[in-house]
Amino acid sequence: MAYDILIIGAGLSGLFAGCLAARRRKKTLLLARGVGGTHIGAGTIGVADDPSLVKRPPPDHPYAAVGKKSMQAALDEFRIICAEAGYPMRGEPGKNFSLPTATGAARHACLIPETMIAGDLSRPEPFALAHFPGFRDFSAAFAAANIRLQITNHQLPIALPLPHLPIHRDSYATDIARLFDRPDYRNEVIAAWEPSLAGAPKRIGLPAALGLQCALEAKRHIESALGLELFEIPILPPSVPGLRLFNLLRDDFQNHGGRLIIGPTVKGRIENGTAAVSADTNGRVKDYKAEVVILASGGFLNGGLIAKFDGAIHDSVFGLPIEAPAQRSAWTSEHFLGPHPFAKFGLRVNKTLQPLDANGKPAAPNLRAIGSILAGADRLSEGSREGIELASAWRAVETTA
Amino acid sequence: MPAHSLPSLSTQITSDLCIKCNICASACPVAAAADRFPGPKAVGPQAQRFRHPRLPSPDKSLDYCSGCGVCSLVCPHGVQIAEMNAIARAEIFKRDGLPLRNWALGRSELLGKVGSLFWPLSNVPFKIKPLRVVIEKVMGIDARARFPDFSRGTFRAWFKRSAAAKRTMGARKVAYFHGCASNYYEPRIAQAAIEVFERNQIKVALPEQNCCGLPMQSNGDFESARVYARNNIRKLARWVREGYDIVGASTSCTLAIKHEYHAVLGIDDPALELVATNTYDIFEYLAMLDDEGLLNTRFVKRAETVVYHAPCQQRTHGFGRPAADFMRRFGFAVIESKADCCGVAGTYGLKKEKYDIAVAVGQPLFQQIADENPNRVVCDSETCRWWIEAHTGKKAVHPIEVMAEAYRGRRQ
Repeated sequence: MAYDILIIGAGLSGLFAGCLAARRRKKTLLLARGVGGTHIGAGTIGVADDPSLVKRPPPDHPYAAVGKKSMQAALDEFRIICAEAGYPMRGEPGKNFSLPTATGAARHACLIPETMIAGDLSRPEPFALAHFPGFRDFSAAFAAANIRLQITNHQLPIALPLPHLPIHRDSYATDIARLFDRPDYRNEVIAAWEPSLAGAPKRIGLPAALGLQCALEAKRHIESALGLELFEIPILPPSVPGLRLFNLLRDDFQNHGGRLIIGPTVKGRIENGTAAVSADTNGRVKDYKAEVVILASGGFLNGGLIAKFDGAIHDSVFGLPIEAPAQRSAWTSEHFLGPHPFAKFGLRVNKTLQPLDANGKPAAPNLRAIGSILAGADRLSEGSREGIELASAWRAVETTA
Repeated sequence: MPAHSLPSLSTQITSDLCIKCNICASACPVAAAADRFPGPKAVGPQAQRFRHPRLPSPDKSLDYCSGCGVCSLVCPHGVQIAEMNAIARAEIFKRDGLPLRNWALGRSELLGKVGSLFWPLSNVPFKIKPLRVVIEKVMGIDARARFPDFSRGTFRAWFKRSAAAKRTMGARKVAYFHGCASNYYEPRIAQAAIEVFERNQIKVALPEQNCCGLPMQSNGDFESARVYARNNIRKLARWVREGYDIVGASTSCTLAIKHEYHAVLGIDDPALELVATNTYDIFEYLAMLDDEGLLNTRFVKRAETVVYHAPCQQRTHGFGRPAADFMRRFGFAVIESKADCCGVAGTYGLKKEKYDIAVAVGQPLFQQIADENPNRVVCDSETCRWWIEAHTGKKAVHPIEVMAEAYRGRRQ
């Protein structure tokens, strides 16, 4: 069976490209060794901390390759998919929310789920952060101490008890989220929280675990019963808001006829100028045929880029070489949180998102690269990670039309 | 087929690839249902750092791992978590001794032989409630767990009398691995497989074979599992050398041969490589024939709505869900299960301390089946089918039965 489009990688860019392709009635297969970056991200869409990055990107930045039109179209279609799944993303491109992180810093994103809206740090109403006693992945006191250094309408942290937390082991955020999916559990929570909330502000920040399947329902249920506003703060992985995005994109992809195989290691090779893909299934290597191959295997963190001990860097699927200084000391800068040269390592592409070889020629005409594997962006310091993922996915699918 | 060698990186060493991202913990269906299980990361790559080959393993909580393997599938870094846990569990039983229950639940071939010999009387004891209560007390096999009925006559006996056994020529040659379930409990499934092979003029042979060993392996009895595995490797290798493909409809048996003999039991043997790289799940095989244009596709279309549950063992093969694609071509509306695991995971759910956990794991699937209310559920694994039938009241069939019907043009 031959596919129109074969996507490698099940992170935000791969899944979104899958949805777009399947919605355009392309016969699409998504292969991935495991699930991807959604589970360790915040579940929000950041395009740029500084809007001029989109308007006037540096020439080697992925935004220069994808173009402004792709960005707008990508965000529009992403919002449609989320809204159809009953999990609308709020906000608009070019206007950033300022939201608290679990360490109490401020971060920016332009599209965020409704569960985080009330956390907008620019709002004047007083708020407090809450921790769940026994849940060790979020410290309200730690976050609050940092927030207090930046803004003044913030009050002392409070403790909100959660019934039925695991007693034989530590809780994961997913344990709590699954509990919040149940209306009977939420009623118990409401009764348990009422005494703790006396005198507390009417805006409360919580670790992001307000439900996996019905987060909005859970939020509204508790808010209306207790007469306050809740907002989620993304915490350590597993990221519940990220899982929600993964689930809704996966379902949208499959509901539109997309095929998904997660598990086998995917290997690519370029034969006679054409990208070919196989999966290392148990027992045998299986070849897959496709008109266009979209590489969405991620950066260093998710295994798309590999740095060898000898200093050579290559992509993990096709083995395409990545340009980098020979001296490893030149990969990093002095400041841990400052911009680092290695952050911009990746595949260089043209405007069709075809990876380029050392001579600046497309490595294979039927190959595209999208998402965090692209060179030229310092996603962390720019706040551009998800913007690059969505816009490049949209552009790559457009080039196959 | 491209040449393929077994993975060389030892299973336990893959713990070094773990970046502690907790993706496995978020996907584990057992951790979601029970806090007795600390989660795949905790008992897998994390605990692995404290397991020394010559020192006792400190933690028994990993016995709550059902071995469904979802963790290994979702890990983006290639950590073989479930496989690692199976090895660590066997080490504990090697040190502390194997419980009688685990010994017995691993002996599906022995049970099948005795059960067929004394049919139909052999079906009675499992249904006597007071006896089951005693068994639960003495052995820890939950009295509520339903056991399948032994069939009247084995599949092997049926095959010897069948027309397929007399076929001398064939476009391809298949040596059929029936497994214990098809031989002793559900010959209808292996019969459907033979019928599908016949429709494709494939010559079928029935090699001497043993239980694949997976029940022993997942009950922590690696020594016996290796004996069974080596017997199968020896008995199957000669068929491969004669140009036969090994094909089975029990998806966990074929996975054991293709993957677990090496990755879990640690067998390193050229004969295993020969057998493993020539063994196929039946739908993997049929999809391959179809890709090559060699499959008879004269299906009689018929509308039916089914829920298809691809069992965890089927997913670990890594070839997708061709059974669902085929059923759509038969004219079916196929609703794919959203659940990663039905809960029973072989013999896990039969154990007293795990029965309730296994039911809780299966709840999302049971709920989906109740909501969709199909006439039948389709699933590739026998223990899953029996578990689904017991907990939903729906008939559960193997997709190969559905395919045989599609050739025949009617339900049996």
